Amino acid sequence: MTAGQTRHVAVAVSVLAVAGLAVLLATGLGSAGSQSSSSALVGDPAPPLAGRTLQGTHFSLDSLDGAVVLVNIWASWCGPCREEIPLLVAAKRNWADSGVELVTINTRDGPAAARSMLRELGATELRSVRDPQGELAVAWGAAGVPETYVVDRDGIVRARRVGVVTEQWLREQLSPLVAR
Amino acid sequence: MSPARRTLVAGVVVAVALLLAGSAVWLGGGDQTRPMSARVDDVADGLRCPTCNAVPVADSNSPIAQSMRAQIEEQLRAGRSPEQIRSWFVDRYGEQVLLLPGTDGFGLLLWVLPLGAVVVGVVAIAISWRGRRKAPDDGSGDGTRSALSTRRVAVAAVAFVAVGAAVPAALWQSSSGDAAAGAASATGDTGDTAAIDARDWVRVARSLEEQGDYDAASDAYREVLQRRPDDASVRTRLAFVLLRGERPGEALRVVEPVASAPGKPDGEALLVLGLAQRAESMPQADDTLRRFLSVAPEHPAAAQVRRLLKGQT
Repeated sequence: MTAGQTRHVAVAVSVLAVAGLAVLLATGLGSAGSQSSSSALVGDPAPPLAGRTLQGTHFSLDSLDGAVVLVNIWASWCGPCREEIPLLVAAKRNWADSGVELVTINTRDGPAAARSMLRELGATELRSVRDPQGELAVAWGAAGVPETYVVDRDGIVRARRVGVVTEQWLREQLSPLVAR
Repeated sequence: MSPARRTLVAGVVVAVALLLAGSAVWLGGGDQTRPMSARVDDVADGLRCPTCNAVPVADSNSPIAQSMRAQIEEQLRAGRSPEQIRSWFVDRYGEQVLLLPGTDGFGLLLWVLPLGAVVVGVVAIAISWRGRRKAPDDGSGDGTRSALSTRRVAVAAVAFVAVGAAVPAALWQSSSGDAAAGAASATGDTGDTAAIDARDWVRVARSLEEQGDYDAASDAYREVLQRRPDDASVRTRLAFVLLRGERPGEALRVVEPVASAPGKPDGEALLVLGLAQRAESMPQADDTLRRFLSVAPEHPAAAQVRRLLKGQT
């Protein structure tokens, strides 16, 4: 190889190295800055969920051991939650025979406002754990409301939905889990 | 090694050591003797608010950011270290909850590579500069010199420094760009998350007010005002919450423009203004409350205000 060729190879290698470094950094920064609706919790055991409910009783997720559980996070000040709660109540009714349970977390809300909304929606029996400081919502990795998680019979989080659930999504998530 | 080169190498080593030590202190979250609010902010500064993209949790008034701060405080009080808390959040929100890359795995690479690129670049520039001083005609490119001619080294050095410097620049740009996007829409990339618009903020504020959390409620009303700056009723409500939160001075400043606006006097604003003036022991308080009574004699608070004025005279 002549001296001229060596120089060209050296220059090409340098350019490739710098370009590679730039791409690597850009990729890394992209992944550090992106926001996904998938949850880091999916595949992990469900976080603890226990506390006083809007009905004044104590509830713990442990009491539903062996059931497939829908965990929904809502608040009376959230418009889409108002639309979603009837869907969830209907889903609980439709899937009850398959052993599906529904638990909700009423986050950063006043109990009076929350109960009033449930009364309006005819859902006063909705099992709703109070979370006035939002700590339960954060423990579940919620980014906002409404959010819904599906927990399988072994207590593992299997899916997360950001925003209002749909019947189709519920069917897709619940069917394989209740069949087990 | 020549004395000049030794000095240069020593300088680079000291700079890198200082940088690493500073990062360790920063990432460690500082010492335990600082006030709790400052320690919470230290951790919250490095976490991304999930509803507003690159806005740090420390700077966001969104309900979830407030909850995250509460969670940080609880964990600090329980004796957990900032690193443990960050890791707890990563378990729930993924690596993307960290505003800056983590300090292990690929994140570590993102810290080390730019630093390495800058160091290599600076050293190469220094070598190139010294080479030029010794032989000003170096790099003229006669084709027989070493592949490391000063010109080539200089070009490579500038490229390395540029790449190294591009990282913090890109981080800064991504933060500010996302922050602007976050301010415009609270949904971010999560698509169908409920956007927190002015109406939702009003609900949040009322709910917080009902819980007696007046500081948080006032923050929420301020969010509404950012979206609807001319909404007199929200301004009055904010002043009322400030008053209930024992911040009458701020309440005065907020409600005064509403109470003194031209046109039909606003009874509610006069009531809040009068009560704030009273709390501040201002002589015009009674006059303001009398004006309130004349404007809104049927107001639910009118009877109480009459008793108040009567008791005083």
